[in-house]
Amino acid sequence: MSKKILTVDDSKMVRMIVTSTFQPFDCVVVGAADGAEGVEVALAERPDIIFLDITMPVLNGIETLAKIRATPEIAAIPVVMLTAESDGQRIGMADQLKVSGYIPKPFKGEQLIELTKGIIPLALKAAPPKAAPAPPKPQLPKLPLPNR
Amino acid sequence: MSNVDTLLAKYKIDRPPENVLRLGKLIQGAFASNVQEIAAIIKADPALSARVMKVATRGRDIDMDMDSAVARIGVHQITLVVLTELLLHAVTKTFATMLSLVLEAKDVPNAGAAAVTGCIRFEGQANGRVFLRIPCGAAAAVVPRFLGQELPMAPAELLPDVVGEILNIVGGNFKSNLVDAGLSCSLSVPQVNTRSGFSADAGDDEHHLSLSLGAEGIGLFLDLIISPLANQLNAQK
Repeated sequence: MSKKILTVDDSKMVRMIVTSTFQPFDCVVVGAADGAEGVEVALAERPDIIFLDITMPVLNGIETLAKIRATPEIAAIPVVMLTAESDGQRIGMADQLKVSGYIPKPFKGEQLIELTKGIIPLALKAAPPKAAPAPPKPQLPKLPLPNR
Repeated sequence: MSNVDTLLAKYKIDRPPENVLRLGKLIQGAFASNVQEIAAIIKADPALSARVMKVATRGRDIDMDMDSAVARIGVHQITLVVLTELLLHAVTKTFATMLSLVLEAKDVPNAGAAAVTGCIRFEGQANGRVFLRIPCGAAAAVVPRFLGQELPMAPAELLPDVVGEILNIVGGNFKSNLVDAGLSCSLSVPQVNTRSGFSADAGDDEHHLSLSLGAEGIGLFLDLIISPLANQLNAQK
């Protein structure tokens, strides 16, 4: 069954990179541009995993994580922090809120895949079935050329 | 093992390199240390030593020992040089990881040419701003490396977003190093625009250091401006 991944990041670029990273896998990536929108999308889409930035407008990543954990319908969804803020204080706050992983930016797509595979099953997309070979064109009988 | 080390191990996060930790300690203790102590820490780091010497001698071929260099340029300039090293660490790490580019200090021509310029401010116990400038002509080489996929539009149209995000990552990394060094601060959202003829507009009491970096035909410019740290550090004590 196809998995659903939510990326919450105010950077369109990061959302694009996350989407492109999981493109070979049987999953759907949905995005949100700030923490408040992230909670709304999580409630509507019920993703299997959430990648969450910290520095965002409206609701920052730590506040968003606290809200997710306090909302029973989505409280159990695994959350991985994907953020440039990787000082001891921030990691400690995220740890208190039971994150499943912490990836400091800059990051490589392989890190996202490896960590995700350890949290939810991830399968490659099935190769599209090979198209049946086109039927041979009907051969017209060779007729003698008229003499002109 | 400290609490932070335990968390880093739990989440498999690399510990900051030793030189970054050492530089952090240097900033923390710069105002309480004497010249010899500061010079001893700087001497342990060849890149930092070279940069301090360059600033102290103003690039001229003068024979000077580290104690004299530290005494000559003063603690504010030392702080600027150390912060620049921390910033450089964040920039080179970001470009190596996200763009597979190993940047080196390099003279980049046409410093005044049109460039996408991003600025991010840090405020708190350390105050200042960082400028990152990437010439518009480098868009075709930089943008696909960063996004690593088929682009939805021309690279030049995406360059401002890419510069903003690179600066966001660099700023976050730099800030984490400052926080781990005991200088708590917050970051602004990056401001990005395209312009020619850059001027950093440093104030009279501010310190400014400018660098150019490059690799594989791509050049960029980095400027760091800081306000004096002394008041904040004294207030902290």
